[in-house]
Amino acid sequence: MNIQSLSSAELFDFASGPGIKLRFGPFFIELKSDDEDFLALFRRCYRALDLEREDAVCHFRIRIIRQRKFAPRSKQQVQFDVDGQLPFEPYPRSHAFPMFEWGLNWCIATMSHHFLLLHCGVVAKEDRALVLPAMPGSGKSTLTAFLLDSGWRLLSDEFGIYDLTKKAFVPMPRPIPLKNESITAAKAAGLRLEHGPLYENTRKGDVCHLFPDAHSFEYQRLNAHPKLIAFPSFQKRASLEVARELPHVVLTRLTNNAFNYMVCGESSFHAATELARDVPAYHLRYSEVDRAIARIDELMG
Amino acid sequence: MEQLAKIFENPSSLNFSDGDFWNAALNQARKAGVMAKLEAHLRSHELWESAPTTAQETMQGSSIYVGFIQQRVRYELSLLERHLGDLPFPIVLLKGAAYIACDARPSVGRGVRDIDILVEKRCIPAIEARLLELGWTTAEELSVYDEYYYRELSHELPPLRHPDFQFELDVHHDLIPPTMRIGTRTSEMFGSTVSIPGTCFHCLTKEDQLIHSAAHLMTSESLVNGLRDLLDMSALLLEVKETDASLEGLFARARKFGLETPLLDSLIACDRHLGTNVVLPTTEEYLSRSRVRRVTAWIIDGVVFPKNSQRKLKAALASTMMWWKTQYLRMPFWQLLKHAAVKKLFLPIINRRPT
Repeated sequence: MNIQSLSSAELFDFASGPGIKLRFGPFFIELKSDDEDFLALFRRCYRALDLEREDAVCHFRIRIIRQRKFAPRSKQQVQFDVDGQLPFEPYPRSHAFPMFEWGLNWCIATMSHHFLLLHCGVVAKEDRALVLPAMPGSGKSTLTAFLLDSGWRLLSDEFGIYDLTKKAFVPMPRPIPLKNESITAAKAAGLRLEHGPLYENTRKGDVCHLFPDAHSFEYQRLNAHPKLIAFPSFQKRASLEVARELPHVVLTRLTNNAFNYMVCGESSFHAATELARDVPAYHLRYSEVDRAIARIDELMG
Repeated sequence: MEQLAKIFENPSSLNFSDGDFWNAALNQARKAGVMAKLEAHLRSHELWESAPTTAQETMQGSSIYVGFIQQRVRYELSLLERHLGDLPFPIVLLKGAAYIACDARPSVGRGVRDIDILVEKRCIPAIEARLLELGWTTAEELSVYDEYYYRELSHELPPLRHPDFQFELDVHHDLIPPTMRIGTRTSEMFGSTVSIPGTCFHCLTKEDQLIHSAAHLMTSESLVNGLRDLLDMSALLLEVKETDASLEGLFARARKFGLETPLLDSLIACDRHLGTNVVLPTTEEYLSRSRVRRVTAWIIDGVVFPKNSQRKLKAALASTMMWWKTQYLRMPFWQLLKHAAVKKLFLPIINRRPT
């Protein structure tokens, strides 16, 4: 049973009462919320997320709770609460969905050290994964979105969740937050993914979430093994340039930007070294997405 | 806190397949900051395997983080040794940093937020001058009143920060504030500190660590880390028991510093909620003998171990009483009045920015 098998009214009843138990990739989450607008958008985005049994034990118990309920709508607020901790100040109610997304990211990044959490997009064909580590602004999210549009499935856009024992990336299909100018660029280039509303002037600028496609949800239980690492860098009018990266450079770039590389200690060092040594890695400079994707397909073989 | 307390008190009696029980226990462990301690506790009772996978993963996530923090503490202590190692007086590590440096029982699953050290009051100018010279600065900008407060009414310097250090450094010259109603100067504890092998640092004896932890807990305003501190004490007690020291000796020592009541209250709480089973002659006897002990036990129940079904009113009343009890203990009434007036009325007015 998944979220869409509940009507909006049923979802609201559960979420504002006993709470719903959901499975986001490897994480079990209890969600309670009394904000029907947030829940409606949540239902639309996460339509194929599995509902878990009522007594499932969860990693996080998250509340999206309305505040200033009797104030005019524009003054109403929402608060993110995980197990009694409040990582952020309250947000305007209209920004409940991005707050949930950032809040869940915060939970994973600060508390889930049983995984190595790399900062990268991960997409796959069946169980063969392409890893896209990148600095903010390099066009990683946009490229990830276009890869989905051309038949790849999404494991994650923000967290490369690497299982240290299974040596595989674990899927957690979540919306891809496009920021600022990439929003218009993606629309202009005819991206077909469904998306949520535009949030203006958030702490990360303008944000618009692209929702994962059905294909990605269909394979949300299938781990993928890393077959290719590409460091994308978008540059206007640049011609396509693909160059092999040396393992020591790959190691540095993978780990410098990881969320908990230091925290995981020795096990993460071995895992990252293995990834850098064994997985072919390329620097990928591009301006035209289609050509970049065609080249990636070639490299994957 | 019912579920979590049950795991710590008597884990073998529990039905571990109850999902609601686990959700409540994990929620409480997260709030109380004892998630990694929970893992250690279950492992020591050979019950780790009975915990559900998601609960195991949640606890492991915290344990890995605590492991990282402890490694960082050891590293920063080695850096600190380079800063302070040649000073001609003993530097005593307190609480978390001491447990970790000594690899003592309470360090299992124990995180820390800052590094606490203790030196004799006469050594404060020397250590402060050295730290400032090496680039340590006060963590927050201090008002003239803050400066007065730390120098005259407090038992520590303002918290210090250094760019090479992740943790703040709290330099104490006493274990309790000089304004406290109970307790006397603890400088005598310096006579019996123990050198920590392989470092330039010292630590208090196990008995004194226990007395300090109890005094700290019973004079802190919110009891936020109440459960963690009680678990520390419970582990320290096991260590004390392993030596030849007797409980009578422990209480005699506490009495010497005027800290018998906080020790007694803490041990009663350990006894009632953590199954520590040590208070002599018996907890019941103590409680039946003194109304004050009963009230304190009630407050600790309400603040540290609130029952799920318990009315919010009781929890609120207990924390209010705790606050007043702490304030009463911390400074004489007129001083408290002055402190509150300056902090709450005067400073906000003079600091108000023109609009």
